[in-house]
Amino acid sequence: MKNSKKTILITLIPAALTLYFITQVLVPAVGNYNDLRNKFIETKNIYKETQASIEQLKNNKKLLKETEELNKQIADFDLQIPSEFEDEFFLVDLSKFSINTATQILALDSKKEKEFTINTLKDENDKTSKKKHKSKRKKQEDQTISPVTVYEKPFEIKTLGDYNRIISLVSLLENYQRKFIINGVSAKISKNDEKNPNPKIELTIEGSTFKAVSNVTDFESK
Amino acid sequence: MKTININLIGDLGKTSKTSLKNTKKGTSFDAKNQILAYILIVAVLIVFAASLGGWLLVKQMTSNLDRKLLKLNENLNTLREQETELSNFRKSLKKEKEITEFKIVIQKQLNSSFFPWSAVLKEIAAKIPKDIIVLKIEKTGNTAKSKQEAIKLKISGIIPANKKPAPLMMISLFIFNLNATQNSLLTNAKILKLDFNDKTKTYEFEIETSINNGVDIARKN
Repeated sequence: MKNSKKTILITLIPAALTLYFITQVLVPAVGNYNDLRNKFIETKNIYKETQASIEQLKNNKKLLKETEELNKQIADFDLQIPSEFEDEFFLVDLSKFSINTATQILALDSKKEKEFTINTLKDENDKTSKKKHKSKRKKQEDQTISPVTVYEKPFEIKTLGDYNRIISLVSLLENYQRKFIINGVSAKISKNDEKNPNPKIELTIEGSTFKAVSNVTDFESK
Repeated sequence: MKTININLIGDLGKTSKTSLKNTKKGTSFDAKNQILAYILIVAVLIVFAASLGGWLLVKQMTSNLDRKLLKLNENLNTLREQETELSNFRKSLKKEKEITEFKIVIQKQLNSSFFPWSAVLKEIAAKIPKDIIVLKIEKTGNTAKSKQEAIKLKISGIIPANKKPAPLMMISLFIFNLNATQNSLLTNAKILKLDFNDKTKTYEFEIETSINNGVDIARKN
């Protein structure tokens, strides 16, 4: 009996060791492999999604083309409406115009700049639903920041010259590379020239120059 | 005290027989057990070998997969960088588009505010009778809404009372001239006010005229 016990015992040791190996080494290894496999599959899926997303993002051509087309439309925007009023350049140009048209600039009175309201399509829509959603609209208005703010600087330019020459000056101002909107004109006969059959005219031109200030940082944060 | 084992022949024969039997029985039991043990050991060894083989295989596969995962992660990181870059580019492009669209709105609104003053002044110069002096031209109404709301001009002026032909005739001629041509910029002229200023001996008048919608005034648009 002793021998048989010994034999069983001897047989059980490798069995136990094998069992130990299976439970402690093989099973965790398989588990580890499975975890890794799952992770791999997950990563592969993410990779595929990212790849698809990149493909979609690479398809920016349409947007780029649209933006380019739009940019063409406002190619001279910065020239027409610079980021600063640049009065010094305006004066130089005005002086050139007066020389070219043989008129005289008698006075130039600039007024305080003010914000120029831009009516976007959104604003128009807001106006229609103004009564219904007054509080909502107010909230929306508070939240909306336009990417560019336009300021207007009114000027009163008093000029002296023959009527036709003054018309030429007005025409030059209308076609000025910078946006100069004439709001009104008033004329009177020059006091020194009242008896002249073709008297010189003192024409006061009321107009405005504009500047566009970018609000990109505020716009981005919104 | 010492004991002496006396070997009796009869007893010896009996004893040897029983012990032999016993030995024979023990041998048969051990042999079976031994075979069983061998079988078990072999089976255990096979299982162990299989486990070991499996473990090695799993280890190899894990190592391969790990390498693949590492490479995949590297590629994924590169892709993510690309994605961020492209996403930022798209964002900036969208922002640029939005700004550009807004600039177009600004430009359109400013262009729609354009009023052809030089053309108006030219037309007035061409149609104004002698001796009438225009003092002020005021614009009312918004050019931006020109389609809905008519733009009107208020022309204020004077004419010396002592001039001949009669000053009132001259004013009416001025209105007539403004209304005469169909395709002109100024149309529908009418008198608003007429006053005689005793101090200056002049007639002060105000004429209101509309802008002809058929003429493209917002030519800059």
